[in-house]
Amino acid sequence: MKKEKVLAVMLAAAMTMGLAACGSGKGTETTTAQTTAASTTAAAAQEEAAAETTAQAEPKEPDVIRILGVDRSGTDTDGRVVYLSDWVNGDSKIWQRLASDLLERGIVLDLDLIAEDQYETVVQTQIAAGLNCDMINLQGVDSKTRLNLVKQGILAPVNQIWENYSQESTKEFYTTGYGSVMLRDRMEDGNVYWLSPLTIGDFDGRVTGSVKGVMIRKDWLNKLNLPVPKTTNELYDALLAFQTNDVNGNGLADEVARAGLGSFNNGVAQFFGLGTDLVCFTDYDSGVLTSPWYMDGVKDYILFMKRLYEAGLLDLAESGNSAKVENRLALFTSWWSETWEEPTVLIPEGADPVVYVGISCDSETGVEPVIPIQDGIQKNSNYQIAVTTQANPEAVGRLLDYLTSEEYSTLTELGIEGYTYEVIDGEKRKILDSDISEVQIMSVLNALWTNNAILPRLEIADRKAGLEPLKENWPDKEEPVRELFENYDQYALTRLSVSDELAVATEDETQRSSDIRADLDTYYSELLTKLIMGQQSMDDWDSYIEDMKDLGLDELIEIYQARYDRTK
Amino acid sequence: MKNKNKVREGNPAITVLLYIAAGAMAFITIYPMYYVLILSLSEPQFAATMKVYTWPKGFNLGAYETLVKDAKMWRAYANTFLYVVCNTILVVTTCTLVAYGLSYKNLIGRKFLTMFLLVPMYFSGGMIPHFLLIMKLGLYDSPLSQIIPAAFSIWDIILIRSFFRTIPDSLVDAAKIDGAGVLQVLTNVFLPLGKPIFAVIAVYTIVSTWNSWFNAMVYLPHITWQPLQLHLRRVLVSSSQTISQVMDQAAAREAAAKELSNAQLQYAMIIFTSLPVLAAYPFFQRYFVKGMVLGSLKE
Amino acid sequence: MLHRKKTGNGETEVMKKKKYGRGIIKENLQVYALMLPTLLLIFTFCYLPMYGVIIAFQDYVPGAAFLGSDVKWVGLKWFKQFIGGHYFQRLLKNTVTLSILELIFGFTAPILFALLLDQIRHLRYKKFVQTASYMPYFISTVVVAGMVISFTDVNGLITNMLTALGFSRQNWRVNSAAFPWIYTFTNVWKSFGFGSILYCSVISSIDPGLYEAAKLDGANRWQQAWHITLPGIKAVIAIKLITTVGSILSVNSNFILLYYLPATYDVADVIGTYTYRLGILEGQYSYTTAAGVFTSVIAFALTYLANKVSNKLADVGLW
Repeated sequence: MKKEKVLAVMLAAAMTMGLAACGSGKGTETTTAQTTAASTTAAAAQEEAAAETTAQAEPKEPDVIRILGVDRSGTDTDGRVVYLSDWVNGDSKIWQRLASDLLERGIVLDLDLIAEDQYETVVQTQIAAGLNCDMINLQGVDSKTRLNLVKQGILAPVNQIWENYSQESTKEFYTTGYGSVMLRDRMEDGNVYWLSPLTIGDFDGRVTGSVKGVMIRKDWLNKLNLPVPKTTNELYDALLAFQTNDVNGNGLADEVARAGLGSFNNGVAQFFGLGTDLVCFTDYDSGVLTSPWYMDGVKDYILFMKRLYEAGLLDLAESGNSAKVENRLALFTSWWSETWEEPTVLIPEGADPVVYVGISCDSETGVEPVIPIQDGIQKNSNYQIAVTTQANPEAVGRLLDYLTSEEYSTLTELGIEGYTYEVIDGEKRKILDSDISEVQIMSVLNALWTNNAILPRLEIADRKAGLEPLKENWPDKEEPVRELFENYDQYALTRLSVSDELAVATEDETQRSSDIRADLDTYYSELLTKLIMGQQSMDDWDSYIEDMKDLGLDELIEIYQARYDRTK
Repeated sequence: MKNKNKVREGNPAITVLLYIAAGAMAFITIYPMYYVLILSLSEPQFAATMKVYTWPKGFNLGAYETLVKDAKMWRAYANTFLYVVCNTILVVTTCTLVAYGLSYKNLIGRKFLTMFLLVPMYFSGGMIPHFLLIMKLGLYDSPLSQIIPAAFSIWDIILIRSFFRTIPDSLVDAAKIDGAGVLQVLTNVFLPLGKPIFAVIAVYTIVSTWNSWFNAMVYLPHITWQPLQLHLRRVLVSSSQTISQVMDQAAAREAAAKELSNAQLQYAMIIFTSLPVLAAYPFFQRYFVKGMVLGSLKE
Repeated sequence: MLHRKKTGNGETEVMKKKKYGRGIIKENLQVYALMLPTLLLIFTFCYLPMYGVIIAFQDYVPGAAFLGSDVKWVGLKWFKQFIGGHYFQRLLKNTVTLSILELIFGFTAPILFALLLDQIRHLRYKKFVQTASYMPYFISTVVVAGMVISFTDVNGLITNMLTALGFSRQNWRVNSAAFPWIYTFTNVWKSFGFGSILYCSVISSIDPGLYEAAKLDGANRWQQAWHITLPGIKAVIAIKLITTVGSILSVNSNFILLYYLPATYDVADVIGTYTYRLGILEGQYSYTTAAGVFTSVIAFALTYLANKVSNKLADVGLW
């Protein structure tokens, strides 16, 4: 009996000790492990580059800026997914150029790169444990948490950095130049706590955003000798004609249009003058906010969608692309000047090539259609980067000088001359066919360190030059875009994203909006769907509006309005 | 197993019907796997339509080629193997010990213990406190974070314990009369008789470890030690982003490129990642298909 | 332990005295020594982090301390908000409906399948069928949802079959009446094979002598299944049933999230999907935790109750 007892106790002891040992043993290891992987190698690569360039320059040690960011990826022509960490650890020329540019300014980046799907979790947990970085990608950090980080003094006001530590030109860029849109993110204390990516669209010297709206199969219209629809009635007829004539020739009446039933952000709603979100501008310039539910065109819109639905012309799947690939998608919403949708459509031998072209239709109800468009100076609210109070503000000041430079913008958008782009007739054109993976990626994307990665983007898009390749290869597509850009002032435009236009919400506003939207979003998208499908009656309209008011629609509009007014 | 001929024959027509029913079940469960297989072999564009029902449309091994060349995936594979082996051994051991303890007739504090086991099945502190604990234990960013917190399973304890209950008391008493102590009763009676349930727990643990990714997502920020499913998920999730919701033109373009290349890849990955578990299954299956255990030991 | 419960108080006192002799205490120490490592693991990884539940009673923001001077305590605010919410009744109704369907079909399917397999004498065939049945468990939910969406599309595989059976051709995904069945069937299909493993293993450990004796008594296969196999797996069935009853408020929201549309919200929106949508909104950590605590408490209570009933009726239980 004694022996067993001893044995049992020993077994237990061994297991617990093993546990404890793993626990304590790892303690010292992980603190160092955190700074390994991508980060150290990144620094190492840069130091190597440093050895060459600064050998004879001043001997001052470069400042290390530690960034917690996303390991963004891009797909090259071979379908291989390439990550930013591959660039950093590999022999990417374009990354090396960035590193050496920064080194000239006495900066070395130390990166902690986290995979995109994991980033939100990692950031939330690391915030809970205490951040250990100089700059941080704020992807997945909700505004309540941001406010708290500011309150705790973890985030540094970037406006004070550019005021005190940056060059005059940088300061100008942020205070009076294009960068001043970032001032919309001023908090109640008057400071700005994060940098937003910027896209400045330029068309003949006028800032111009790109369009995301309804597109229709032009090749099908041609096949049936139909004109491009100018009114919603013509649109209905065209969609019906596609089905009745079996324009895709597969023997089934399965040609459908995709316009999401449950939201106003489907392009078709904009034909009836409606905004894209539950709260929207009454029109582009007035700055007055309302809801599509209160706008004149809303009932007509629903009736129109109902007509489409009852005729079996709508694709009910809200996601997935089987209808498009199967060559039965007549209409959907996308970027008017993009060409990546067409090659994915499977068409029978000998059929005309697929072309989707942008359209805008008049509802003939007296309401002017609006076109959903990005802000010409687009401050993207998704990919923001913050600076922490740990950071050396002087080094960050120098970094801002670089981030606002044309040099950086060119490197990020186009890459290196003669390697990823060439200059033809004074115009910069990306090199499209190359065997080198990073050149392939740069031919379709911007550099992997921007957008949702580690550094904010500064894109200056020449919209006019951008139309040239489109004109050569896709004349049908180019036409409506050029028409719009050239006569920008004659169109009624609406903002693609209302929230990008608003000032940062206060704690109270955040909480109230969340509380309201928790039920209101469900209510309105369900209501919209069921009205269109005829499962709820239009006769009870007033009671629906009453319900939404009860759920806080008016208060939501007020909150948004207050936030918008603060940007003035 | 020829001696089984003597068992329970009945109406041959019903026997045939039962065989057919079993065949039908096999069909409806095997077909989807086959469906995934033919999608993975079809041209990516047909794979994207998902309307490939009987035979691959076109033939394209591109996805498999991409996978085989993917060094990150092989690394993830090796990690998962490591976790599966460690966790299976640990879970079966730790759970058996507790289940054995609970089956001990004269256990003091049984009520308290069962409550102790039951409460965590329903209440959890959530992600952040768990994370802080892992951080304090020094397990963050370490492969041990995938092993130690997963070294037990309360549900498995309950299962083993309920199985142990079917072991007749007389066997335990007989062993005790022969002079067996607490440990001998475990090794001489419970361990040999528990094989079927150990096999089940092993299968459960293998499968759940094989399919797990959430803990890795929280505790392993860098890919070095990440398991296969996290890698697989990375491919799947990035492809299921709806482009229409992306507000940035470049991001939308990127998502579109991935969507197409992934149409086929995601199916190939399912085939690639589930094969080892399917292959391991028959090894454990023999423990619970043959009626092998109690029959030999008469009460 | 079970019979002890039934004995009166006086009797247990007597038994206790006899039981807790020196030998018993010694043995108990040994037994606890064996259990200790696991119990420590459970304490560390389950109990230590449990303080996180308190954020259901606060206005929590990530990065803030769980306990401290600046914590905003809100009492039962979130629980009230959840239970008093516009959609609470519908969420509860949908969740319970789907769970009951799951209980009826999802719970019984593995048992019936295990009994069916038990009737298959041909060993190879049996192994083949069993291995096949286990396969769907390995297809990730994303792909399963993609398959079901494709199959139930206007011209999908299942729609074609249903049309052949006389149903009108339609996109079944937006059909509210069909949703619970699609959900249940998908779930059953995905997990019945995997679930049957447990039953198969327990059946395999039933003493073959019992069957032989029954055969000598002239019992046919149904009688044998009824009188020997089923009682043999009764304990496991009871345990499974108790936990299934306990999980009546937790349905597989992963699949629903990928499959539902606003058109089917009225039947498909469950507590899990609702809290997911809340999670996307900003800073609802405390609210979602409160919803989680609410379901946990109900689950715990139901399990407790089910266990009590099971102990009374069938003499088996979790404890």
